[in-house]
Amino acid sequence: MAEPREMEVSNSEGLDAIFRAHYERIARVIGRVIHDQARAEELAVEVFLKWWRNPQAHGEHAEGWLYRTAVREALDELRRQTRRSRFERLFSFVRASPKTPEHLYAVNAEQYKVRSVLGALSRRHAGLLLLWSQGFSYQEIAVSLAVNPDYVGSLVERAQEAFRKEYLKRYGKES
Amino acid sequence: MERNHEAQWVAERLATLEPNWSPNLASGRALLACQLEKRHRSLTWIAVATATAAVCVVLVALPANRALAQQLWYRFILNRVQVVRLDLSKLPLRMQVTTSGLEQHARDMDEAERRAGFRPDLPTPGVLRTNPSITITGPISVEQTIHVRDLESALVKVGASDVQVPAEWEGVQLSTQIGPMVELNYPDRVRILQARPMKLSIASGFPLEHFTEVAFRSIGVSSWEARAMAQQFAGSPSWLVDLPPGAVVNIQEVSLHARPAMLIEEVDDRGAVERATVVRSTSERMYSASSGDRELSMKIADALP
Repeated sequence: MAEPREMEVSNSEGLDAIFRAHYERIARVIGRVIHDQARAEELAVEVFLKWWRNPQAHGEHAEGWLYRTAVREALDELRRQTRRSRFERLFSFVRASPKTPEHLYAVNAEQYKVRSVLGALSRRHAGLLLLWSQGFSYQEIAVSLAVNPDYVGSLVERAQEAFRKEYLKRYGKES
Repeated sequence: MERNHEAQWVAERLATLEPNWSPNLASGRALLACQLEKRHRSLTWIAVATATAAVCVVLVALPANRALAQQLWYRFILNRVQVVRLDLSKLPLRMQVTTSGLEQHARDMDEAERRAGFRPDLPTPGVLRTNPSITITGPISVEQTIHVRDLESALVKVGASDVQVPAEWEGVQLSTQIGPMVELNYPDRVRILQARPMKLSIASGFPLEHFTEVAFRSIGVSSWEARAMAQQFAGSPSWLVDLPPGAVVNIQEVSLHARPAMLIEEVDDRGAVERATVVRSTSERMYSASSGDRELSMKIADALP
């Protein structure tokens, strides 16, 4: 992560600068959770718009705010998608057409499993794992998730443990 | 499971989520610009674009060869809102907008009151849970000058060859004062805008109705419609909010506090409501409440004084 900078934020130049600096990384963080590239990029743009509209998020904590919001947006979207698919399953008995091979593949794919597990974890655990797996340093994770840097290591360990337990509960083996 | 093994195992699982695509900065920026433009459009209800909306509204005639002090002024307070499906930015008037600063942030309501000259109203407690960030815009002063040739050219362009522009309109200046406006921003794109009613001054003798009709004709409004709109406007001047014909919106008159209000819903390409804005006014204040949810916008607008 680049060094935090003071930004002139009440104008579009400030927005443009921070957008250029962080858009790709934020889109990738969201892209880990949201499979669809277009939707992931849409959400990434939404993060910057929220930031721009929220003067309290400007200044030296801007980057932390951006990544925290990106993680939250991604997880919220994942949960919305999960709710939708659960709702769709309720009505699957009236669905005449069979599942497509692609759908069957997706359901069984490891990505699907991992996303399902992330969606079931607490937001804090999921956020920690997302940033950790994206290669963020402990210091960066602390800034992004507004947690004490001294505790990040143990928080990540607890999140890993929660992930493994949930994974095993759902899928029964460590594949 | 041994700690390092567990970390590695989890890392391997999470590594499968690595996107196999690269974010496209150019398309991201284009999308950002598009969203900002939409936001700018949303603000037209009260904020910056009122400058263009005010073009037809505020007619302060200042014949170039006479001093301001010599004029007899009719003054109006505009506290009625009217939506027109027109693009008033196309009016062929040369416009100069001046402001004491476009956006200034206020730390709290006291500072907002000092900057705006009035204390912003908040919805009744319980409707919105968090404190808003506060921005003050304006006041905005709009000065416009009529040039007969510009008007004539615009009329020719839209095929309104039957309209004559009086030569004595040349150099007449139009002006208005708008704001200051207070913008309260809450999470989830909830926004309340408020301002005192715009002040309209019209120099005596200037043919308001005639000019308004010509102005509407110059942007392509039909003869009978321009006349009807001009008569209505001259009879009861109102703040005209312009919605270009291409904008996909639902407009509905609703009743709040036993008075009419305007509900404007912006619709996305799939027909879903993206943003719902309720515009209402009192004798003291004009309000606009907007959010992504129609019921919430109504509730907020209803919870304002």
